[in-house]
Amino acid sequence: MTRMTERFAMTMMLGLMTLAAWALQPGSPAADFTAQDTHGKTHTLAECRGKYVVLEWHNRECPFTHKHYASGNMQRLQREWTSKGVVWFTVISSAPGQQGYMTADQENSYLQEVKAAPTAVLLDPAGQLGHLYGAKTTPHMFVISPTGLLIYDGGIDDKATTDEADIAIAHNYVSAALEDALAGKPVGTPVSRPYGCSVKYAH
Amino acid sequence: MRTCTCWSHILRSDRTPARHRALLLIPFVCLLAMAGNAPAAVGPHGTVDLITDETAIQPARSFWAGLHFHLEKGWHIYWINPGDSGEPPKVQWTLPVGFHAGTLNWPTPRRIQDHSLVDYGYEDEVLLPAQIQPAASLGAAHEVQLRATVKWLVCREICLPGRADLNLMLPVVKGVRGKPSAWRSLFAKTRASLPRPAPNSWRLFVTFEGQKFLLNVDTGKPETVAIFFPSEPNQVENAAPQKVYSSPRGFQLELRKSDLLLKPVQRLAGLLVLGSGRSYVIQAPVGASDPKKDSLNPSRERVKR
Repeated sequence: MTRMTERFAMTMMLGLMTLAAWALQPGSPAADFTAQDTHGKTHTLAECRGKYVVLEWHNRECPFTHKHYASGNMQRLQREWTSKGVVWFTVISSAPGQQGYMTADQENSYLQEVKAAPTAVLLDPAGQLGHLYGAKTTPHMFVISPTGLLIYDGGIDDKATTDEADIAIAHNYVSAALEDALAGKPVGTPVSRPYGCSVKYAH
Repeated sequence: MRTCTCWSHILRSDRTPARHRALLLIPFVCLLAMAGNAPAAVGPHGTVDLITDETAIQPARSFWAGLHFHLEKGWHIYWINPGDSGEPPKVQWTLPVGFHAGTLNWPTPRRIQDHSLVDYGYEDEVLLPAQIQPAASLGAAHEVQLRATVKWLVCREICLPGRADLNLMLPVVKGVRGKPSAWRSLFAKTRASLPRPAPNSWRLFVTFEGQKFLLNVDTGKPETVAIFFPSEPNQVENAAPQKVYSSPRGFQLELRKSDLLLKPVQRLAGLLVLGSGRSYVIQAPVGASDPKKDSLNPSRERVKR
């Protein structure tokens, strides 16, 4: 090999080695879980095979969550996607005594009050489900395919603000992921920065 | 001035409801005590006021205005890149015709741990200055009004939104310079400490190994303390410890790649704060290896986690 081709081959190898370190995340199997909802019903991810699943980390007192509920944006998304057969789990990982912690009764009356329409709200006061998925913020959104693969992990949209006016001009990553997947296309943005308040896990 | 110092002390040291009510009166006392600031707006767990470095302005001669936050102990607001959670303050200026406001300048932030996340922001007191360019001619105006609508998020475990409409009337003087306001020294101190471009003599390069960026900086002398604040949100894992390896001519800083970074990057951009407390704006190219390997030889003696 000439010096030139040798150098080219080295560069290519280095490039491939570097690329390998970046490949991962989207398309990996989503971890199975078991969790109770606010009506005492147990849900597992395994039961949802054959359907898309959305996980929405929630803390109603967080200003970023508030932006999406006060505007009706989250409820609209919940209605739109559950009507198309998507399973939507809202998850509360706030520990007892921490902001956003809700008993089942408190959460059920809140759901009525704000006209929220998730499939179910999963109560995760010990933070097991939150830590399993690495949920960082409220909201932090995940989308799982009917075959149990994680196809989206990140923020609800591309406007990391508490300003309701931004919703109209935001690009919603959750809807985009579901639309791409339903159209048989690879998800355009499979990962983004989750924005919001920190999840109030137990210390 | 004394009144305000006293007031910020109360803010930080006492959180009883009775004192809270008394606090509401104090900004007005401050207004009487000094020119060059609007009444401070009382927001959640702190206050914000609009201040200037001069008590009067002239046509076409720029001056500094700024958002001056005082926060209760333990509460913080955010840098322009907030890190893992939060949101930076935003300002919308309403200025007289022909006036122009520059962008906010962001002093060096701190790393603030929030559960398992790390945010970048400010505690206690911070001034976010912006340069204001008055119109070339102010006609017969005797005074002008500056208005700033400020929105911010203040957090300590929990986050609360703040919003204030701040107003400041400034007299117009012609031919003579306006007097420095009582805030002149705070503006001078803040501006002097703003991040500055890295010296031309520095050499920076980044290598990528495993899941780590190794930021190599040749400053000409050994450095034992260095903290990197990324200006891009998804390049570096904010909460990961940054490890400093001192070298005879600088240091190497180990930064964990963000899990959100799915494609190689051309450069790491952000602030580098050294042991002197001074902070520098850097853009370090990311490459496969050191372009001049012999000149920098980190001892890999770890000095700080």
